[in-house]
Amino acid sequence: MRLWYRFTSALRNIFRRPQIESQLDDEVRTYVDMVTDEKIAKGIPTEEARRQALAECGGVKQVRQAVREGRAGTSIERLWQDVRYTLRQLSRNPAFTWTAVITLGLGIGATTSIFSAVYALLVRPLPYPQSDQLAYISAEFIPEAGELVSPEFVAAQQGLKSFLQVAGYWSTSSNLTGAGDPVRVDWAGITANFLPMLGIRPQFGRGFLDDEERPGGPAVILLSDRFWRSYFHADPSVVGKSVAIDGKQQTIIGVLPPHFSFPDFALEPQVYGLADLDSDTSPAAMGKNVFFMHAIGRLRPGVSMQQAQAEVQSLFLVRSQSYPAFLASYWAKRRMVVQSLQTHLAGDDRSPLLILLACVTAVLLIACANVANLQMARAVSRRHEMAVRGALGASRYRLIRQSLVESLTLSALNAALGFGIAWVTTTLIRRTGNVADSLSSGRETQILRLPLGKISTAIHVDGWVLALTIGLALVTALLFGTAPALSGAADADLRNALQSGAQRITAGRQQRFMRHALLVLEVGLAVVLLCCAGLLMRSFVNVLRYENGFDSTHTLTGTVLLSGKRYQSPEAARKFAEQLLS
Amino acid sequence: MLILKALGLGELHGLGISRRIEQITKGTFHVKPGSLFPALHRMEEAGWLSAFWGESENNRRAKFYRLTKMGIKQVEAETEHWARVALAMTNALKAN
Repeated sequence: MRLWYRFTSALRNIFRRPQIESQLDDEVRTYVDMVTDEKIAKGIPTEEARRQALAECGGVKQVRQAVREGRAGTSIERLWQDVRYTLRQLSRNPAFTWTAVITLGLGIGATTSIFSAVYALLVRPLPYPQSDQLAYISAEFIPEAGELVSPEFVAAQQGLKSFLQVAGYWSTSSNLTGAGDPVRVDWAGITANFLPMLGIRPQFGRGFLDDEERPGGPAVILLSDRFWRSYFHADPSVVGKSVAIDGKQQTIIGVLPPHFSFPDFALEPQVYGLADLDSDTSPAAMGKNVFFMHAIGRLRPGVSMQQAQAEVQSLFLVRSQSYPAFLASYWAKRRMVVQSLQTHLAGDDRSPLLILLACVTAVLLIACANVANLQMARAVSRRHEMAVRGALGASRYRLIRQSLVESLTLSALNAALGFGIAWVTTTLIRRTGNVADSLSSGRETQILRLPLGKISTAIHVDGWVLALTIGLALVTALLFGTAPALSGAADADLRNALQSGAQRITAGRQQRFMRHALLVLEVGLAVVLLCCAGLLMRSFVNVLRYENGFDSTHTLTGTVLLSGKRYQSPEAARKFAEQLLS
Repeated sequence: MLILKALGLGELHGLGISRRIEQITKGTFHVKPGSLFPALHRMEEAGWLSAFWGESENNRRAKFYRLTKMGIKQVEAETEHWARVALAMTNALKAN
């Protein structure tokens, strides 16, 4: 209750200041007038009465000042005063301000944008319920990891005890016709339990049913939200319509929700069909029409990745013994890998990202050291001012607070700039990483994509990143603000400062030590940075050096997909090509 | 506390409070405006007093203060506290 009163009166004091001031004025003046009246009544002459009354009160101005000091919200007002003073100082010294703001803003911006990538990749849970239970199962032939062959995938679906369920997908490009212009789409064949396992339900229409999943089952497809919006103009009556995928009629049964992101960020299928796996898992099935399935499983609660991996390994070892000899000997070398989906998706991007993060942190620290140096130089030239303020009665606390407020104001500017930079870079990265746009991507976009790879579409600036920016700003303020504050506080001897501050140009021993420390720090960081940058540059240079071996100017390349029944025979395909080129 | 007590008998303006305090303490305490007004404003902000503008006995516009419910409670609490402290002090001084 009391707090609330204090709070409201603080607000009133700040926002209705003129009114409150004039009331206070009236009040004190009335008091003096009344005392004067009393004295006149006692027979003292008017002038003398007034003088005595004023003397008794101790001065109208002093009383008002005393009231102001004790008022709620005074400290906030003081803070605001300090901030305004700082802003004036900064705008009077643009060279310093711009240097500091740009240096640190760039540092914070770089750190924030790389952090947002690291966060999206390594820290943030995947957008599925209980995503920590999701595991990616793959067969690793030395030296590369691969998907599972479809009969083995079905065997895994049926035989694994460590998983609540195992779902999978495979993907390809297809031609969609029968609804306006023909268009090439990314098609994913998924198992019926794939979406339910990820906790995804269509925003309308229905999902796949378990009994639809069999060879020769009903021809039904789902659309991604983005494709539905761009190609079907978000028409809700699309459900139940039929389109042709590679010449085969399919019925649209639903549209996926907008927030769904496919558990392979590089792939954004527009059309989902059923994988239509043959349930035959016998060794003989290995010789038939097989394809490769990406397998994702949900672990049973309490089962660790290692346990699951052991089970998968033994299951496939037993199976491969009954395979034909040439397969068995080849596959004896393979190792089954079960890893968390998050790790799998992060994949190879992990280490370059961490190196990058180290780089930008080093850059940020160097920026801090530089600005600290600048601040110290400024503190030396402002010693006289500080000393005068101290002599006029500003307390030590007030002076130190002033310099802290200065640092914080400066770092608020930095944070704003840094956040802007981070927002721009992440938007750029996301745009270049977008699969839909990458058909038209040039070499520049590929270079931009390089360090971030398939995760790049998932990077964006969110609350956590914002929190980081603010945190960074605070930390940098501490880093570049403490050094000058300390060196400023060190000379409490006002007289000395007043006398020498004006003339002395070279720094005292205190400052010299501080500067040397900063210099050592900076050189150390620069070496670290050089190492990191060297590592990254090597792979960059490799990419840039890569030549096609032919002159690619004024040439155009395109791919035509001739799938479906109409182009089964080589003659039909040849004929199409001739028509196209002539 | 003396200010709160002085206001216990009714609403008063600044000078009135000062005079009332002199009166009830039989001239022991003389409150100067330099401490009176800051205290009044603080107590108003804390919600113990409420203020309004009115006419004084000799027709001057003055700010009057009166106790709020919270203020009355505060007087009771402080009186009790003071009584305890005073008793303790008296006892302490009597004992050798």
